[in-house]
Amino acid sequence: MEIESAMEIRRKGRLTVAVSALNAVDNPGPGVPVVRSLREAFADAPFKLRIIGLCYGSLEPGVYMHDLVDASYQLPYPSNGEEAFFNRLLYVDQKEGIDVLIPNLDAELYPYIKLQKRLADVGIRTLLPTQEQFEEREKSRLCSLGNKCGIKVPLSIVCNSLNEFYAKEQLFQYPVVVKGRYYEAYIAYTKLQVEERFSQIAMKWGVPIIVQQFVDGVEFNVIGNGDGKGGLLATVPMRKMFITDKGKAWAGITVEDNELIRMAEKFVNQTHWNGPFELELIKTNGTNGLPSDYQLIEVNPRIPAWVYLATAAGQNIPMQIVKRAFGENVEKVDTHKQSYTVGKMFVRYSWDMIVDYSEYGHFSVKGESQKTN
Amino acid sequence: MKIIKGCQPNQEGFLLNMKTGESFSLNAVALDVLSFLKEEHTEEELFDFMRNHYEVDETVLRADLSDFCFLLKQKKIIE
Repeated sequence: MEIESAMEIRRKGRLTVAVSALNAVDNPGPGVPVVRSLREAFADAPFKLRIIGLCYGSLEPGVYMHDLVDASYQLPYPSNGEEAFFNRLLYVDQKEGIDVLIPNLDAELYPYIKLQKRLADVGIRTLLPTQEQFEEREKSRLCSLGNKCGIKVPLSIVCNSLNEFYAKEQLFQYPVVVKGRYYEAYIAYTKLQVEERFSQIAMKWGVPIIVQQFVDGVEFNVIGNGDGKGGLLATVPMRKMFITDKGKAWAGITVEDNELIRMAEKFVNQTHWNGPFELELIKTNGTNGLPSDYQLIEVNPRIPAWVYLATAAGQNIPMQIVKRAFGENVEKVDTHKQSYTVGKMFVRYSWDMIVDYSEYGHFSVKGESQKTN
Repeated sequence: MKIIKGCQPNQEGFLLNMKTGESFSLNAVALDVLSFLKEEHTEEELFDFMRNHYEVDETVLRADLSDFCFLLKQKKIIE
């Protein structure tokens, strides 16, 4: 770590990292695997790693995972107001002395980008894309991003009302995918289903809604970490082996496909992306005489929930984030060499933790909890 | 014909295509075919190898090998 920061950590004997998205529903947050990656990275460090969980509800499992998380704090939703959100972070910082904060939810990234300087002023380091980068990869702008990067993207339109979809319906062949701006996506096989899903998502997440041509094929994801100057610090491609009805990978395997790595390179070269990201791609089946190819269906501006697979395959992106937040140089990944283990798999499972109601009650009332032993 | 790099089956007959992540369980005959194709061979050499190892009607063998090799090429396991 850079000298001044390293001295500060040595003086404190502690590195404090705050991590969000400790939820684990059927669309699990990346928080817990981020913490696992950090625990492994700093297991033999000459300082103590203290993990602070930042939660939006008292039933996020990370709150009760005391072997991973040292203390947890509930935050107000950023949509409730920037000042309330910032003040709560200040409170957590005063109690814990946060060195680095790693936000892991799409919806909180924009507020964190806006607050980045104010957070830095109180000593909370973050590693985030710029607002321009963040907006450039939004689902509503994916087509132009694909053109810029030379990556194929399925036809997509952005609709603030169903009338906007009706006006362009003839451009599509059913089925199509109806997507919320941040969350949720459903396949619709008829106009009626588009209308139902449109209303369902709009009521929950608001507009715009994105309607995208459905692409049939095999799903691949690529995790990466950009240096903000067009360089790639890490990248691992993964094939989804088991997919839930929400479209989330419940098992996956690292693969050796240079085409996927080139796509990650093109993305960071063209956007100068700063920090972690995930490309979601479909490899088409190549039927009807068409060649099989990759089509980009989404770019996530953060660490994905399967990040621990990349860690296990040899590329610890959460560790890189902490190092870079301290200004330490992280070497670019040599994409012409095998930089990760191919054939490494993850198989996700759920686990029922047993929690005493008093602990749940304490966190619900106080909005914070500390590991007790 | 030869197995593409990254598609070697293990001794138990499990094959993972390292590029695509697709996996296959091979029966003993398929494993024999792919073990033979670890080295470069023609389709005729493969035919001779299988005919010498199995009691099989030659017409059936030729047809089955043709189908199987087509599948292996389609799945990008051999080239």
